[in-house]
Amino acid sequence: MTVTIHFWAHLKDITKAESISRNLEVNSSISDLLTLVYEQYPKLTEWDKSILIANGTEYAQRGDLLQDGDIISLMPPVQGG
Amino acid sequence: MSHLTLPQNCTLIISREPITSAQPFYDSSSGAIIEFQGVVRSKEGEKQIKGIDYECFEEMARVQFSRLFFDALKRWPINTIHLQHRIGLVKTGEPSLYLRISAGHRAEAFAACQWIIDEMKKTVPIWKRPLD
Repeated sequence: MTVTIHFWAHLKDITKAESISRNLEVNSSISDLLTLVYEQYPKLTEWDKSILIANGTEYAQRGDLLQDGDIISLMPPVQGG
Repeated sequence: MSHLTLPQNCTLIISREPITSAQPFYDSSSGAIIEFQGVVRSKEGEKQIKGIDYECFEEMARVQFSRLFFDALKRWPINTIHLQHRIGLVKTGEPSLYLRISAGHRAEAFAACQWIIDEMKKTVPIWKRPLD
């Protein structure tokens, strides 16, 4: 299955890309996806403890299973106002 | 993917346009109207800045704001919520956030105003980039 990953704010500065796509095995979780992403962008691990994750427009947990076509956003802590 | 619509008595504007003073809005059931504006300060910590560039994941921000408005309406007997958040470059001294809440009495209007801003800063995907 294929999943798209969007990077936001300071995370985009690290990846130099707004989005990438990755192929994963069926029943992969967001944690599995993060492992792949961190392999490609090791500097992102510095944000690992504070990183926010969304699937579509809803917050997601690392243990959530992915489905083909999911759009995952990786975000630093939000700062509106 | 969620597509939450706003509660009927709430309005939300996310825009690059400057925030202009809202027209007075009165109704006979609202004894209290709270208006809050968040303004960009000239200092971020000890550093002098010229403004803040706000980045927003707008589709998700609308869903999260909508959820906050529904929650606020459940928590307090408030009548209306109007929120405007500016994105893109906002110069120092200019407002980036405008929130107006009307309610029967001031206590719930103040409480809801404080709560929405606090929760927004935890859940709504907007980020700041101070500009020197």
